[in-house]
Amino acid sequence: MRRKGLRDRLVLVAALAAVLTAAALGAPASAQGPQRLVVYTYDSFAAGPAQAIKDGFEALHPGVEVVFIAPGSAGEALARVIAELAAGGTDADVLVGISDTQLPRAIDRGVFLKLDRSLLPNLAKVPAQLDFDDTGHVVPFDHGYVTIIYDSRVLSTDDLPQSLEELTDPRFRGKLIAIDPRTSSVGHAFLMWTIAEYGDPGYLQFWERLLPSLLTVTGGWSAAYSQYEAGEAPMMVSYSTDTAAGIYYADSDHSRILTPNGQAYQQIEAAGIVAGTDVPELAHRFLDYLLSEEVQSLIPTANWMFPVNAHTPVPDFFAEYAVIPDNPVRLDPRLIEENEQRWLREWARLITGQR
Amino acid sequence: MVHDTRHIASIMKPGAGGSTVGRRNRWLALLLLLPAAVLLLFFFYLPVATALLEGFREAPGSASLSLRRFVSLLADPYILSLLRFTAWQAFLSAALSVVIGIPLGYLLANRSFPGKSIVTSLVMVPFVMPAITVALGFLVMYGTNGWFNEGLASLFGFKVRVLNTLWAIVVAHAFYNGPLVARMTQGAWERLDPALEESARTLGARPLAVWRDVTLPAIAPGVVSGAVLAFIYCFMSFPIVLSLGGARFSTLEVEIFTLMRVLLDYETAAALAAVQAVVSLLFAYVFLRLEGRAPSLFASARARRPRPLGGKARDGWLWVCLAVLLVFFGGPMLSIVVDSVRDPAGGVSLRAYERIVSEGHDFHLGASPLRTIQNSLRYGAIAAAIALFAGACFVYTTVRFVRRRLPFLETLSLAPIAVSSVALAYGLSVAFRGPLSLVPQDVRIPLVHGVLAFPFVVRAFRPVLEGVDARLIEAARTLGAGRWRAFVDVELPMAATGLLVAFALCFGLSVSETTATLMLARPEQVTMPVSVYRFLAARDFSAASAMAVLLMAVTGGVFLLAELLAAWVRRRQGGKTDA
Repeated sequence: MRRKGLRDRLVLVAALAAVLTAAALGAPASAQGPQRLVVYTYDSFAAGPAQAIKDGFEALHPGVEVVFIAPGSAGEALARVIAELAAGGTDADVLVGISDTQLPRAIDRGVFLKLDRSLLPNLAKVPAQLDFDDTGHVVPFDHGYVTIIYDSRVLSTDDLPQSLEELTDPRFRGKLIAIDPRTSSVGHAFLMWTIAEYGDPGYLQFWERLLPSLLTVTGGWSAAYSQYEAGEAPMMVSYSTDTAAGIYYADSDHSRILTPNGQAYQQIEAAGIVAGTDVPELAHRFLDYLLSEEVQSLIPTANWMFPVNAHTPVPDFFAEYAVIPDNPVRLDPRLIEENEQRWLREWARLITGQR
Repeated sequence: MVHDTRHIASIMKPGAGGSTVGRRNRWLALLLLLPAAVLLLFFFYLPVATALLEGFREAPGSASLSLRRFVSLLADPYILSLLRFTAWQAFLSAALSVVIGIPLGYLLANRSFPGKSIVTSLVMVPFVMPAITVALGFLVMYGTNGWFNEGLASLFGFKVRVLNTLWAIVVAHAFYNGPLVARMTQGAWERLDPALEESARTLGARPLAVWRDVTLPAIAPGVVSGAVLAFIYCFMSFPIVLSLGGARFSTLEVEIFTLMRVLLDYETAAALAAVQAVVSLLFAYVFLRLEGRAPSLFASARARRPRPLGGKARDGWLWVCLAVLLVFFGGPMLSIVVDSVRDPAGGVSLRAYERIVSEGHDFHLGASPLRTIQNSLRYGAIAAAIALFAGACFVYTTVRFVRRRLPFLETLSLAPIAVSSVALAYGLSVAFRGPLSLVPQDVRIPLVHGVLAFPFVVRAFRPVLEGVDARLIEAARTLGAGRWRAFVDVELPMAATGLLVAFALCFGLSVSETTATLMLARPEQVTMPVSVYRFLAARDFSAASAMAVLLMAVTGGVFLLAELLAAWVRRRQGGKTDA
């Protein structure tokens, strides 16, 4: 009786072990062979235009394999490169998606190789005001505008705030969803906008006046958007391409764009070559391909940003509904680098009531 | 029946009446501690030390060390207020988890009802849900226009605000951790011999006295184990806090994240992460000390036989409990299912599911949806195997050889979940490029998940192993069984629930982990929650929900299989005791 019990259990253990081993061996090891170009990027870029870019670039360069790695947000992709560099080397050859505000720190940490601009002929098609990096480490590949979107089914046109200041009006009590500048680039852009508008100590007083209008300040864009779509509040901090995206995905244009005084905060996303790459020439060709009309025409509906190449055709509905503000707002990245820690800390103290 | 007298006599403290540890046993004990030591030393303490050392540097990259960052952090009233709030919300969350966990644990240990295995597996599923999915589930469930408020409005004519308050955070944390406490309580409860309570009652004790003097001390190790894990887990939480409560309720982890990922100030981040780890482990230590002081422990040879949840009047409140718990846990999960079949253009459709299983869909670059499922299952299985092996050896040694409470060592074994995940991810990526670069890429993620799951195995396995009467093993050994045979024949089946829960927690932890995974993953190593985040990033909300449903279904299925397996083992064990 006892022996049989033991045997049964051994059979059970063996079966479990077999299942685990089978599961462990399920996937084959990845193939080695062609010349690899490893691109670190953020997840929505990986989920958006990356596959088409990979296919297109590999078709142009037989024998080259493009590998996209997306460790999360743009900040997380940069963090992984920096951590890997600190340990003596990274796989990344190219980083796609560094924001203009994080660039000074990344350059200070030695992340990027200086570019040879003669290898980037497509850069000539990018307007000078978008080619912001005067240190020559990165090239812009798209730009977008952070502003307020509103639900036109709830707020009528004559009821809308005409300025940032009017957002603090009691009639908008609990009507706005903001996003945390510490954890989200959209939230960060909005905070920078208020600093550009109200100046250094002035922005804090504005946020203090704004507090009653805030329903909440979420950690990321998705959480904010879900609450907005569920009708928790009729306004949120978001992108000026949202109406176009709503039409594209859900055939619905109820989300509309506000550009108070023709303003919205400009974000420019850039790409650079990671220091220590052993394929610098191929990496340059990749950056130039990123600026070609072929890739730039993917940017509107695959990344919901605006192309930087002025020769790029955009779809009609995008041209009609995606808004480029008359007066884009932008802070000097060096100014941001010098003050960001204090600004974020002051902002967090105000929001948590710990001033 | 000799049972009764023997069981009343079996009230004993663990370790009482044990023989001294012999020389041979000492070697065996050391050997059994080896897997845990290797695992934690190389894949946790080494990378964490690398990361946290930055906090002691005089300046970035400098070799001279100082404590000045710690001094200025601890003198900063803002940091102290973050620390206070972080501890407070974690305490409230752990408390609510206990309030939910005890009745649920009672139900699972003492009653049988149709579909019990499914309910048991279902309540563990929240543990694997990505934070953003839980936030969405809570929005549909508790939002202003959510099911809960619509129900309130139609029944009583008013609504309450849950979302974006401290309560949303606490309730969401209990949604994650209540089942954890319940399953650990269940494990301890099942090992409490019903005869003890019966004899206390026969001797004239009032129900409250029986509960206080017999039941509570017996289940305390399980409850405390669950509560300690819940506390640490909530102490480290941040996506849930920011998504459901908002930035007004910032925790320390948000500050660490900001320093590390936005400001790239690794040194201050490391110092703060060290403070955070020490504080949460200090709390854990105090809990474990309190548990060690519990009046007495009861060891039992006989598992209790759950009786059917019946129509008797005294079972009425249990039905109510069951119903409330089903709504509490099932509601947010069901709302994700509903969201996944909602067509953006109106109506119901399965198009989101078609999108996530279609091959060649370009959202995942090198990892088809099928591959992401396979990855998640594989990492979960290996991580669980690693953590179960190392953890079971560790617990067996401390319970059977040391036979003393070692709160300090036990606290250290909890460290993997008490260190900031962004700091740990940084340390790991440095370590795998340096001293650990020889570790093959394919096993890195499961190894790290195994380390993170280790504390769960220790906490889940320990209370049940302690509940197994040491004299039974001695009896088995007197009859000629070796230590291994005694372990396999006597202790293993009796500790089945504990091991099962440990497995589910390890598997769940691995399946849901994203921070370290993203830091280490190659493109083809995409897992299911990463895929959920990627669909969200691409604004495909219904596909994200569909992938989350798939994640819940797959892990729920694994839990159910494990549950059925354990039920089978228990039935065989039960049959043997009767024979």
